[in-house]
Amino acid sequence: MGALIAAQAGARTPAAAPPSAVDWLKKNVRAPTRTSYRAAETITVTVGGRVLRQRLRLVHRAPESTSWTYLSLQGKVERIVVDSQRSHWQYLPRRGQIIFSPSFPVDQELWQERYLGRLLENYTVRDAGKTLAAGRPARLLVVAPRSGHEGPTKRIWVDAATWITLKSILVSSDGRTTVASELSGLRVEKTIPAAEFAPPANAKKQTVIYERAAVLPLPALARQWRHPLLVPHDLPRGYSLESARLLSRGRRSFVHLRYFDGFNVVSLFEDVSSSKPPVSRSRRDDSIHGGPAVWHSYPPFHSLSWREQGLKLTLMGDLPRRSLLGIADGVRRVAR
Amino acid sequence: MRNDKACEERWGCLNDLADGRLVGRKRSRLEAHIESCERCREALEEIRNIKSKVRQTEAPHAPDGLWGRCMGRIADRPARQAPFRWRRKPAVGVAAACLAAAAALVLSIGPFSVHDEDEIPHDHYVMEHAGFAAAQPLDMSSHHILLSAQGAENDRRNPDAESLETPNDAPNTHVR
Repeated sequence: MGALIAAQAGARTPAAAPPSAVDWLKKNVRAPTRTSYRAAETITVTVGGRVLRQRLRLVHRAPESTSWTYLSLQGKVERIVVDSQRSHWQYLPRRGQIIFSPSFPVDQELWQERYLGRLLENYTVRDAGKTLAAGRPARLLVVAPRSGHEGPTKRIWVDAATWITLKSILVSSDGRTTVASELSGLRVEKTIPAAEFAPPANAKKQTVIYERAAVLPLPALARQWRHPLLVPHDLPRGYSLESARLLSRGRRSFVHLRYFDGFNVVSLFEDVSSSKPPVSRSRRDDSIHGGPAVWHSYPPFHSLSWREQGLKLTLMGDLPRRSLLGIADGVRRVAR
Repeated sequence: MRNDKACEERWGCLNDLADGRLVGRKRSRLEAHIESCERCREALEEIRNIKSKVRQTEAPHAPDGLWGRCMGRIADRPARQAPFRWRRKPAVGVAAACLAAAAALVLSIGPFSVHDEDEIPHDHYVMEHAGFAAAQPLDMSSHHILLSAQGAENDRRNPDAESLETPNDAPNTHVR
């Protein structure tokens, strides 16, 4: 008996399987809840060969408080944004103004339960191996649309020790725009004083209150909206209706239909205003159902506006032009 | 202990209360809560003050398509014109939570949305669109758009504020 126990004790337990790419992605999403840190961050947007850059100072106190300090090229503080997942404020030193507003917390568990599955249906998550980022050992993950699916591609350099995103690059679905973010000088800290997230006392205060609009089933929305409700019937594969809401701005009401593939968002807005689309040099004329339509680029996404059945319709999303035109072409009225 | 989340859920009804549109049990429940909650009391007071000020003020109109023109400049400006001041408002954002909150800022029924216009500006759609995207933990492309659109919206509603369209001698971004 003693020999058996000794043999069992000496036997090697089977090694745990190494984490998969999806495991790394889950860790990365959870990382902010477990690690406090400071870093410098650079965000770079490349549009048509032009590069625009913003420098920030980032302080994160796990599980939920983050402060972003926007710096000028001369290193001067231009804006401080603090979010604690319960409250949110922005301080504008030049105006001596602080604006409080409700926070929209990022719910990592909800994301995992509700959206991760959909993301994996439409995108592959690949572990591209060990690498270095911000001078630290990292894992490179690549989230890319599956064959036949249309959407952006994102590369994420996940810190091997803390799972924090050290660097990321997003490439738009038409490959024309990239948004990159990179940390430097990352310093993990056990505790960061809560006082670092306290608003300045002497600023002019403003509080913003908002009302969330209920998500409605389409037939209910069609009944509440006093105009024809138009919905797209030819969405690219993998995109499904995420929410339908009747919103207002001042005395104007408008409809927002939101389609989502787990990663990329496409919106259709409907209103009865006679407003013209914005005038800009990125504008180009198009045609929907034989009528005029206007195309704009808002890197990395685009918008397409046209009139139909007395409504102004605006489609937005990071999809190639031909796909947005196809969606617009397939818009049909919903029966009440 | 004060329940911040419960308070924030109640804020949606404060406008109705201020306008006298809230009736019955909903009204009495909210009034009872406000009596015991300083935060909500202050919020209601603020709404009433804002409404009163807005009633006395003529609604300002910013140029139509401000956002479109700004993004047009980014897309169209020749590289040799650097440095280009991209935005002096919130500029490029980084984190989902704060950016989604920025969307809330501009979609509010608070000081901004009591203002009435004949049409819904394109920027407003941009913010609605980008807000949800920015709240996704994997998203980051929508952040800078959302915050910039918020800046444009603020400019529209606060004509005294520094304009997105005005070049700045202290750029926080540049074109290479």
